[in-house]
Amino acid sequence: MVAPVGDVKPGGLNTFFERAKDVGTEVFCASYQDVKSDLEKEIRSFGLIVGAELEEDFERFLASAVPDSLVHYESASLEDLAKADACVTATSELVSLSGSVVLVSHNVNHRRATSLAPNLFILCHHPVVYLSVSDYLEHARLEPNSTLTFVSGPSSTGDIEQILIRGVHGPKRVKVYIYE
Amino acid sequence: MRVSGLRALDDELRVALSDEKKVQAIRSSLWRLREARKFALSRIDNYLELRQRASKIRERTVENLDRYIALFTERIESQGGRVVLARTSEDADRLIAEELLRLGVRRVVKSKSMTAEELGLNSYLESNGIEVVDTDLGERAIQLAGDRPIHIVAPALHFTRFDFSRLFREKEGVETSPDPESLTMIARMTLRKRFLEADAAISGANFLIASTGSIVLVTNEGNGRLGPSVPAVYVVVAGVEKLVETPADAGVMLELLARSATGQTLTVYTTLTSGPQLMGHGVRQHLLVVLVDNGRLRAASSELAPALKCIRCAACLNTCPTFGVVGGHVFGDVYPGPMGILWTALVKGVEVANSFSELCISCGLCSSVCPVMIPVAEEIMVVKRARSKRLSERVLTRVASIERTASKLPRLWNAATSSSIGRTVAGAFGLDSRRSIPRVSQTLRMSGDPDNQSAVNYAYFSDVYAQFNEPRIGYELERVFREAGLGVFLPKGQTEAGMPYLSYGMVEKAKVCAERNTRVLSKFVKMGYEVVTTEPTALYILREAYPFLLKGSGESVLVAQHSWGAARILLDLVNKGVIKLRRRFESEEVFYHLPCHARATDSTEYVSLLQSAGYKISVSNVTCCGMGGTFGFKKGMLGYELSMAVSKDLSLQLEHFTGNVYTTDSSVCSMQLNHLGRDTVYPLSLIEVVRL
Repeated sequence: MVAPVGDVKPGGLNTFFERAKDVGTEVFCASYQDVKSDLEKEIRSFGLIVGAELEEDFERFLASAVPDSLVHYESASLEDLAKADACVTATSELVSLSGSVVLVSHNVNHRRATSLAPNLFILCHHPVVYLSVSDYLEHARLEPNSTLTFVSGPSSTGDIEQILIRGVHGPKRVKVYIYE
Repeated sequence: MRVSGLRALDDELRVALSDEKKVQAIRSSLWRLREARKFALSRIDNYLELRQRASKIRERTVENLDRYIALFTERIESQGGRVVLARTSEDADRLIAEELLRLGVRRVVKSKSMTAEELGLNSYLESNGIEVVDTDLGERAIQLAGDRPIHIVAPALHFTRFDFSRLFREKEGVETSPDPESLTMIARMTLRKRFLEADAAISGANFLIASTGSIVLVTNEGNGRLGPSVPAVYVVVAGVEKLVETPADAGVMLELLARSATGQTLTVYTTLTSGPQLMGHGVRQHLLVVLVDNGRLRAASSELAPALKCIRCAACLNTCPTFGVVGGHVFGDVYPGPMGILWTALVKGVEVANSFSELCISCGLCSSVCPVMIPVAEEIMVVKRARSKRLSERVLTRVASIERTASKLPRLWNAATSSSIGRTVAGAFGLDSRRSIPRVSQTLRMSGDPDNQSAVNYAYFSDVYAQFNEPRIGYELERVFREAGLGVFLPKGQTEAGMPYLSYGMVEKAKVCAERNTRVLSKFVKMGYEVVTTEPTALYILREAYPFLLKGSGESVLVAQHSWGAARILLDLVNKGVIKLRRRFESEEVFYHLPCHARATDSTEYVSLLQSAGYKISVSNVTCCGMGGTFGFKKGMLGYELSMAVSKDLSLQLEHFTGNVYTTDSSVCSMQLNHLGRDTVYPLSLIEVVRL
């Protein structure tokens, strides 16, 4: 984990860093260029990568970095989504106390893509950091026909002898990139 | 369904306690969950405020069910979904099956839902030719084994890794090593296929938000997020009580749910699905929300209404001393544990609930940990009212009057009850002959009026034990208070606190005690005196049970707000620098057993008090010593045997203690410690007060 570049709210991003680590989310906070270069290293060996809800510039970057592996979530089939090694998506909202990333899906394929891939990379440009889930929902506007998910770490289970295992039905690995 | 009464429960208990491996698995799992909850709550500074807000939110739900149902229905339908209200479990099963068959559904993936368990939905759908695959790992193992969940949050905690491995080999045809990582990957692989092939998804809901038509679902594994996102049909089945009004209300509930359940700040996936999802090309998912009544709407205006506030966090299961050794297969019907008694009464009737309600030993811990402030223990007492009473219970509820008479001739009584004939007679009344009948003494004699020499006087509520068995406790209170410059008097007219009546569901008799003691004590509180107790159960009764029994009457609340344990009063003076404490015993090391009722009222001051006197304190870290008031005196599985099974953790801790002074402020806990071979001394006897 790289040191935070600065807090949006006093204490907010630092707390997010600490709590995200507690729940097993990796956080990489750096310049735009460094984020691109780290992400490229992470995904270049993957066979199939789904891009979902990315900023145009990042979409272009991925298309040039992994041209043969990238599919767009809206046009991807369920089979492709299920075969994908990674999903790269974006958010602008974090919750510090629970170390959560907020994902909003307006299309079921976004929810599928961010659930099915074993590796989930979340780009977070200029994050807004909320203190807690209640702080977030106090002012949230839940849009019709959408889903909002607080993702607090990789998919986990303790069902076998209460031993924590990651990667049950959702991603085994979650990495959040924060950049200004 | 369990309807056959006490005899069957005795047998089930015998079998359960003989399975030591399972008992140990339950014990250690629940210990971890309790510790995790404790840690999670220690990281927030507004728990009490959140708890009060959550309680109010849930009260509003119970009071506004019809309005919330109408609003939620309108909001879902305006987004293109459909809502139906099923009056009975049969209606719910039929509605869901008809809808799925009409849509040609043959394969369903399901995320954990206790409401679906309540409805027997899986078997109903299977009987209609629809395959249902549970997708939570623990639930899937339970389904493959043909077993029942043992716990609502950790359904397969009684299975070992070898059980999982065997089930995958025998039922899924997959061979794997029994390490949890490999087993989890097998589950991912086999269930992934089912997700992708499913025609429909079914899930429960943790909450439903009326104002936005949103379904809130929390899962750690991600099955609750993935399942509903694959097929074109999604059915949500949830009790009407899951409704809250706004997203902000849901936010407050979410702050408490995971912390109380598993000790997480938030579950890995907390998903709010508003209306049907868009499948692409302008197509909406087919969304049906089945709101289940099945007795809930009737209960909203009954004595059981507070149970509808329950958010299924299982904190009450995790803290319950008897659930902690027997688990939900014995202690429960569809819904297990303390909340299971209430919910079984609610959806299946009081008779079914009372087929296992005797497993509640009235320790009060369930009420103290409930994040939405349901008086679980007190509500259980109301359910128990309809339970037939054992002979032993009838005898034990008369302890106060028996001992009042016996204290007139204590030597004769003590000689008789300690003789073999006395023990035989006790056995004939259903009491276990291995227990010593408490010795009686001459009645406690203290002034009934405030002491004019002291500037501050306390009204002493003694209860039975200090009154008839160990008046020394009252005299020690007098001594330390005198040393501290405080007066204490024993108001005339007080009677027994009445805990045995409550434990065995004799609510009307308990109410008589409540009315009398409240009348006596409130007179002094109104004159400006505070009430002091030396028995944690007496304090618990004054603070929690009497206001409940007297429906929050002004006098009962007044007494509750002005009642304190002796340790709290002394510790306040220590902290203010008015007094300091000295050891009266040479031995520095002391084992203090913290009674259930002290923890239930958050009255743990003896630890600090004894430390302040210079003792090194080892505190018991168990839910309960097992005595459960008078429960441990009863003969049989639902008495002595279960009491001793619960006490095993305490026995182990006692074995590891290297000192030789044992203390506890509870009378019945001291009896259990004595029975475990440790003589006890009342904690006030360990200290001397010096005024500064």
